[in-house]
Parts: sequence; C-alpha cells; structure tokens
Amino acid sequence: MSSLSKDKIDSPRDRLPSDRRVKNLGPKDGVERRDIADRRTENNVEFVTFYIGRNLLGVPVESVQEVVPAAQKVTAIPRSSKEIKGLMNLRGQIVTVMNLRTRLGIGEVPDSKPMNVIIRYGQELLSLEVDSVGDVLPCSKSMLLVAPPTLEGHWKNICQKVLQMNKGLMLVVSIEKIFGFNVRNENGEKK
Amino acid sequence: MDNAELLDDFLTECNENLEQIDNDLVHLEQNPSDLDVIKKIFRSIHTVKGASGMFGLSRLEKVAHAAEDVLNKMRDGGIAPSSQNIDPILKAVDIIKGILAHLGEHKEEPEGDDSLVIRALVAVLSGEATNLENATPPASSESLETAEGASSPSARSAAQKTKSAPAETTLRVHVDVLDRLMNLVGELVLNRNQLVQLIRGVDESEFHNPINQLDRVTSSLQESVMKTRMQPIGVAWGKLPRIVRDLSANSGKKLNLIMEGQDTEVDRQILQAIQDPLLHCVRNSADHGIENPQQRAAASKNPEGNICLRAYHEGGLIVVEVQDDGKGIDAEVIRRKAVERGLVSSEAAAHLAPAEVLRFIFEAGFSTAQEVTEVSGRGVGMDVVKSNVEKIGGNVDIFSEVGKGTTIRITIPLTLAIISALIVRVGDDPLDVFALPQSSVLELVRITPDNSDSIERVENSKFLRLRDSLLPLIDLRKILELGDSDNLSDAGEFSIVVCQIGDSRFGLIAREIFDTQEVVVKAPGHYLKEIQVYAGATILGDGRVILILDIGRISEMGLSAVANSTDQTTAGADEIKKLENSDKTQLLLIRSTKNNPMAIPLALVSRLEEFDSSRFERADGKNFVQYRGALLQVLSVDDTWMPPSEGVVPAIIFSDGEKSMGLAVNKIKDIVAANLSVESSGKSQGVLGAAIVDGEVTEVVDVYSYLLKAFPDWFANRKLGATKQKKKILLVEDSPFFRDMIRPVLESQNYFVKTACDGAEGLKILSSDENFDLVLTDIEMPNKDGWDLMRDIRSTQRFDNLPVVAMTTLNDESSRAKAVDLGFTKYLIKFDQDELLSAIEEKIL
Repeated sequence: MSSLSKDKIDSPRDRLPSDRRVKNLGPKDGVERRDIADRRTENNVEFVTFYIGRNLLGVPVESVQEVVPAAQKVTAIPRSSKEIKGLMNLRGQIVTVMNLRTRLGIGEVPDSKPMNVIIRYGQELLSLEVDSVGDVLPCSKSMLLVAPPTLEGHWKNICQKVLQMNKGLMLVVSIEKIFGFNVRNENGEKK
Repeated sequence: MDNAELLDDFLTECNENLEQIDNDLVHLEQNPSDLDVIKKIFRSIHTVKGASGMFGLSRLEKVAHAAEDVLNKMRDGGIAPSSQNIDPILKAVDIIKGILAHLGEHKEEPEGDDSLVIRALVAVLSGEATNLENATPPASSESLETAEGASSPSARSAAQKTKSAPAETTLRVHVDVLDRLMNLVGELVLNRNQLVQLIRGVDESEFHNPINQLDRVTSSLQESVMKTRMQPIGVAWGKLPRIVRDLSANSGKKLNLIMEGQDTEVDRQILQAIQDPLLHCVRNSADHGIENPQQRAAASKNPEGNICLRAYHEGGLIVVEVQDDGKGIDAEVIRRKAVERGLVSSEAAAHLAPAEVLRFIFEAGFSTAQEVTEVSGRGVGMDVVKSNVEKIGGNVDIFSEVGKGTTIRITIPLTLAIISALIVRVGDDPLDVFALPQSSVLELVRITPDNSDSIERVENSKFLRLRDSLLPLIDLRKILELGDSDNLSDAGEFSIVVCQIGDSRFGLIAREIFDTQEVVVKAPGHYLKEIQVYAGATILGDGRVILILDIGRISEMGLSAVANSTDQTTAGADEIKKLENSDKTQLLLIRSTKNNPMAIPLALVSRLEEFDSSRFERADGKNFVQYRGALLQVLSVDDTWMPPSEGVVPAIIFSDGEKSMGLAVNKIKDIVAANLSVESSGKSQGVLGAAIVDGEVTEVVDVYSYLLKAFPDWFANRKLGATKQKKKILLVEDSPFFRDMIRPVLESQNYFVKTACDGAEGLKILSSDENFDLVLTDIEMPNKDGWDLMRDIRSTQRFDNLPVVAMTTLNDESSRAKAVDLGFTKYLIKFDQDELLSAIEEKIL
C-alpha cells in the first residue's frame, strides 16, 4: 500500500502505460477496504482508479472487493454479448468478467497484462478487466461534477460524474450502468 | 457419561419426540381410528415420564403422568380421540415443552403450577370432558371453546408422511462437525489438484496410480460431505400443522394445511433461513387470507379454507409457495395505502400495474389488516419476510386475485444445492464443455458412420429414429451459437443425449460425452439469467468453471427454432408455454397434397423420406415406389393425387411389422407440441380429430385408416369366420387418442366395442347388466387405475371368467408380476396391433 499517495495521480494524460505504478499492486497487495476505511467521512468519497488507454476511470472504493491480475482461465459464455469475457473461478466463487475495452468499443491491446477489478454487487461478483490499476483517490463530494454533455457515446452511457483534477479528469463509472443493471425502465420494457 | 450429558441427551430425544407428537395428535384428531398413532404418542409421553422420574423432575413427571393416563385409556378405547379430549393433551405437551426448554437453559425445573391442566386431564379420564372450560386457565379458555364449537377443526397435516421418517438408520451429528468437515475437504481438494498438476505431463511415474486413486476418493469424499448438509424441506415445515390447527381453533376458521414436495432437498443454511419467513406467510394466510366460514359460504366457497405449501425445483432454483384460497388482496386498497403513506405519488401510483402495486406489501410497516390481531399483526410484516429471503439470495413474489386467493412465491437459489450432471462437449473446441442436469436425461445414443442412417432430415430439422419413434434433434452447437453445424457428417462420430421434459422427448446433439458428476450449482448471475439457456454455473474438481444448461429452455428454443421461428418470446408468453407443456403430444405438421395443414402424431411415424418423382410407378390406379427392397404403396389424402412430373415428393413412412406404406405430402413443415383434442363425431374420413396448433385448428391424420386403405386385407387372416355373434369388448382408456385409435381396429374385426374413459366409468358399465366378453384396459388412469379396476373385477363373482387384458406403457418386471398377481389374463405393451388382436382372439373364444 506504499503507493497510495494522493498527489501523484493528477496527470493521467501525460503518463504512458509503462509508467504506471500498477506493478506495485500485485495480487497480494490489492486494495483492501479496511486500510482506507478510516479516511472516508461523510463528505469524502474514495475511488479505486484504473486506466483504459490514457483515460483515468474510477469506481467507489466500497464496491471493490479486490484487484487481481486477469485470470488465465476464463470460461466463455456462448450467446452473451461480446463485452462479457466469461466466468472465472476466484477461490471457489464464480465471477462474471467484463472487458471494459470492448464495452467502450475500443480495440484490445496485444501483449497487454490486464488487471481485474473485482466488484461486489448485491449477491454477485463482477469483474472489470482494465489495462492497469492506479490508486485509491480520495476526494470531497463537492468536487464531483456532472459529466459534460460532450462526452462521447459509450463513455457518456457509463459515466454520470467526473472528478476534475489539476490536470485532466477522472470519470466516475456507474456500476449499475456499466453492468446493465436496471436495464428495464419503469414500464418494464427493455432499453 | 456424567449426569449433565445424560440430561442433554434426554432433552434432545424428548424434543424430537414432542415435535412429532404435535403432528401425530393433529393426525389422530382426523383419523380417530389410527391405533398406531395413539400407541406412538403414548410411547413418547411414556418415555418423558420415565426419564423425568429418573432425573427427579417432579413437575414434568406429574404432567406427563396425567397425559399418559389419558392416552392409555384412549389406546384401550375407553376415551374417544375427539378434539375436546385431545386439547388438554396438547396443552400438557406445551407445558412439557416449556419445562424442557427451561431445563435446557438452566439445568433445573422451573417453578409453576400445572394443576389446571392436570385437573383437565383427570376430568377427561373420568369422562367429564364438559368440565374442561372451568378447569382451564382463563387466558386460553377462548381457544378451547372455539375448538369445541368447530366440530372438526381440521388441519390436514403431513403427519401421515412425516411419521414414517427413518429413525433407526440415522445418527445425530453436531453441525459444527459438518462445517469443519466441509472446510477440510475443501483444503484436501486443493491439495489433490496440486498433485494432479504435478504429474501431468510426466509420462512414466510411479505416482500415477496412487494419485489417480486419491483423485477419485477425494471427489467422492467431497460429494458425500456436501450431501450431509442437505435436508428435506419438510423439516422446516414440521411445526406448521400444529400452528395451523391452533390458528384454526383460535379464529373459528376452518383451515386445511396441504403440503407438497416435503422431500425437496435444500441446504441446511437455506432451510434455517426460510423457516421463519414461511411461518409468517402461513400465519398471514390463516389470519388475513382465509375468510371466516360465513364469509366463505356467502361467496359460495367451500367453508373450509385451504393453505397449500409447495416446494419444488425449477431451473436451478428451489421454489416454495404458500398459497391460500382466501379473499385475495385488492390492489386498489394497496394503491391507496401506498399513496397515503407517501411511498409513491398518486400520479405514479395510477400508472402502476396491479402486480407492481402488490409489491408495496413488502415495504416496511405496510399492513393491510383492518385490525391488529394476535396472530400476525405485530407490526412485523412482509418486509421482514422479504429481507430474510433476500439475505440468502432469494426472491419473494406475490400473486393475488380478489376473491380467489393469494400466492406468495419464495424463490431460493440453489447456491449450495447439488445436482447430478452429465458433462458434454458441444463444439469442436475442447473448451466447449457444458453440464446437463441428469434428471432430464433418459439415455445416450452414440452415432457412428455405421448407424448414421438413423438420423433423418426434414428441411433443416433433424430427427433420430429410435426404436420406431422419431425424436426431434436439437443441435446444442447451434443453440449455443458455437458454429454452423448443419452438416453433421463433418462431425464424424457424435452422441445424442435423449431428454424428456414433461411429455416431450427430444435429443440433444453433443460432440462428446465425458462423465456424470455431482456438481454444486451456483446460481446464475445477472448476465447468465438474461441469456436464459443456462441454469447456472459450477466449478469442476480441477477448478474449471463450466455452465449448466437449462434443458427446458433449450427444448423450447430448439423445438420452436425447428418451426418457421415466429418469435414471440415475451416473458409472459414463455411462462404460459411452460405451464401448458405438460399435457401435450408431439405432432408432425404437414401440408397435405390438397395443401391443407394437417398433423400426425409423431409417435406413429417411422421414417421421413423424399422420393424423386421419377421413382413413382403406377399400377392398378395406385402409386408405388421401390423402397428398401420392396414395393411401397404411397397414398395421399386426395384419392386422385398423382406424383408431379419432376421434383421430389416428401413422404411419411408408417410401418407396422412387415407392412409399410407411405403418405405423400406437399411439405413437411414442423414438429410442435400441442394439446390433442380428438372429437370422434362429425369427422371426415381419414381424420382422427383436431388439435389446436398455434391457435389454429389443425386436422389430425387417422393413420390407421390409411393403413387399412393400403392393405384392405390387413386383418384378413384373423377374421372371425363363422362366429356370427358379435363379441363385446369394453375398452377402458383415458387417452382419447388411443381410444380412438384402438376402437376402429377392434371394430374392423367385427367386435362390438364400448369405451370408458377411466376405471370408475369402466366398472359402472360392467356393473350394469351388459355381458362383455372381454375387458381391455389401460393401467395408468385418473380416478380409478387399471390395478384398482382389476381388483374390483376379480372380487366380483359374476366376472370370474371374464378375460381382462392390460394394455399399458409400463414395461417393467414388477408391473408384469403385479399384473399376474391380480389375475390379468394378458399383459400387453402399447401398442402392437398384431399382438393385441391375436391376444384378444385367443382369449375371447
């Protein structure tokens, strides 16, 4: 957890994939909730951040169970939509893995070593496969802005809020939206 | 063993006995003549009394003693087991339970005065049951009064079934031990996996054999340990008959409790978690759902209300339903209350469908009861039920119809449930491995180049010819979109998994079949549910995740994909389809040569062929084709039909023993499952009746009339010759289809045939003074089955010499032996016409 400094993550756009400090976040020192729980207060939120290409994204830390390197064995699910990579076995529990690149309509990077951000949603375990993982980023709720309307298609669909930083933005990913929960609107029709 | 341990053992045993006593007493009330139950209750109470004397528990001893005396006299017939007489015993049992509970916690008897109950018991003993009211403490007098008022407070219980619980082969084990075992086995499995990994790739190793052995043993151990945690759901229902009985007595309502599916096994944890929610639902039904007898009578309903508890497996889930036939819930009342409580704005509420409105019942503090009653109005409501069920990953739904009743459906994922699954490879990729629930699998058929001609094709659909029936085939690879596989010959050897869902049988095409494993079903997540073809997922011994296929869904998709795919897969329509599927016959849909849509029961079809028009030969005004070394006559619904000058003619081949015929059609369209409703009156020639297919009336071909047309001398060798007197046959058969198929066959043999649709009707006809020469009966029938009919016939002297022939699909040794025992003249398997006729001929003369 030595890399959990807040000030280093201000310029994601300047950073190339090879620079990322994700190497510090191996499977054993994945983000654990209890270490950072004391930093959260009512007006503060914390995000686990990760990268897709040069874009910095984040999900609320309390929804993240752990971060692990992408599993070798993922069982594909025939008939599922293409962003669903499949199911993996995480210590006896079954996790549905979504490739965030595919979800966002961005092509895969060859020879990459993606990471899986394991998210607990209700009774389910879900995983976002991302290029690499950043830090835990605390911020005050007041710093969160409504996502600009100019955000492009796929991105706009999954991000409702953004965090403005010294240099650049962090997009707050909505877990409900990205995994397509509540896809039925009030009339019971599918979106 | 010290005294404290002894006491613990005593308490455990007593508690088990008493749990049973409640049900037994309720059972006794309804079956007063059941001496065995009285004896059993007596024994339980006697044990309590005996042991309490040993431990010096004087209070317990006195109460048990008084109850024992009453039971003793009841056993000897001195006292009737009426509800007045049983009430004080139940009271005594309650007191005994209270004392035992206190004993468990404090290791000593609580203080208390039981003289009232003892006096009541003594009064019963001396035949002064009417003094009971005075002898009972005021607080509970009401319940006793109402119990007397209602002449038969009937809580129909599962006592009958639960009483046969196997006691002698079980052993009590502390749950902690099981949990620890489970964890240890988990670790062992990991170790095993490492070892297996180590020797993989090593060709020659002395470790191979021992590790393989270890592998197998570990797997069996894991399965066995997992099974120890399963319990029948009936365990969670044990208390309910007594509770319903008491509610019945307290409220003056007449309540029946019906339990179905007690044997459904669930994991121990789940069992515990749903116990309280279920209890609450049952109380709700009794208290708010069922009306009092006057209201029920006014609504012209049976004054006795029914509460039905039902448990069953469905698509990888366990469903538990609590259904009542009470007054139902008025969605409008809920709508109003929801708005009053500010749960929803009045505009939004107005737009909600009734089903959505009902869900407000699950909001905290939402009660619709007009008044708070002792039973279920303590401010704890359905919200608690819902949150408890959701805690274990379940779901609660409510369905209600005003005036008809309410159903609460609790769906629990089989998170830990274990099923036996067949592991198959579906696609060409070695990773395309899936599990099929073994419960739907009937048999496996291996297709090699040698027997590949047993696969028939119609357009894009394939069928398997299996013992003279045609099974529609569903290619799993196609369903799972793992590649286009129309060309089966590519696959070389492959396997067909023959499955049955409801009445429909079909084959699933798989590339390779591995083995059967017991797997732990993990509930399908959000994504798997959306895709619908999966019942869940599981982790194999080697850590691989594989998907479990939902055979029911796949059959719906596969069999309708065979059709011209009129896609109307809204959730609701699917539900209805599922419900209706139970009573259906598989029909081959064709267009006749007159281009009419017609249907043929698939069971009667032997093969499907396509004949090139050049192969047709004409002789004597009939059409023939050289087929399998013989001349096959090809008929059509239209007598004037001629084969076209070119192209191919699809034909359906019917075979009966050596004889075959073809029916030419314009097109073979589809295979569907539909309800056959055969009406015998007003049908045109060659038509058996009609079936509703996709909402349209479709004529069903009378195959036997065509067989007769092709072979007018079909039955010639069996004609009755000189016997001019028509012999009379009673045909008892519940299926209209078989009835209408067999009848003409018999009539063609100059028999007089009378039909009955079940054993009861058959017996009625027999009892009226018609003299039958033979009875031909099905075995499995509603109302009165063939066995019972036979018993009745053989117990009537008049029928001593009446030949009775059974004709059934029950083709097993025990049924045959039973038939001989009961005195059936002949036992035939449906449906070999030659065999039937020769048997009748033999027996009737």
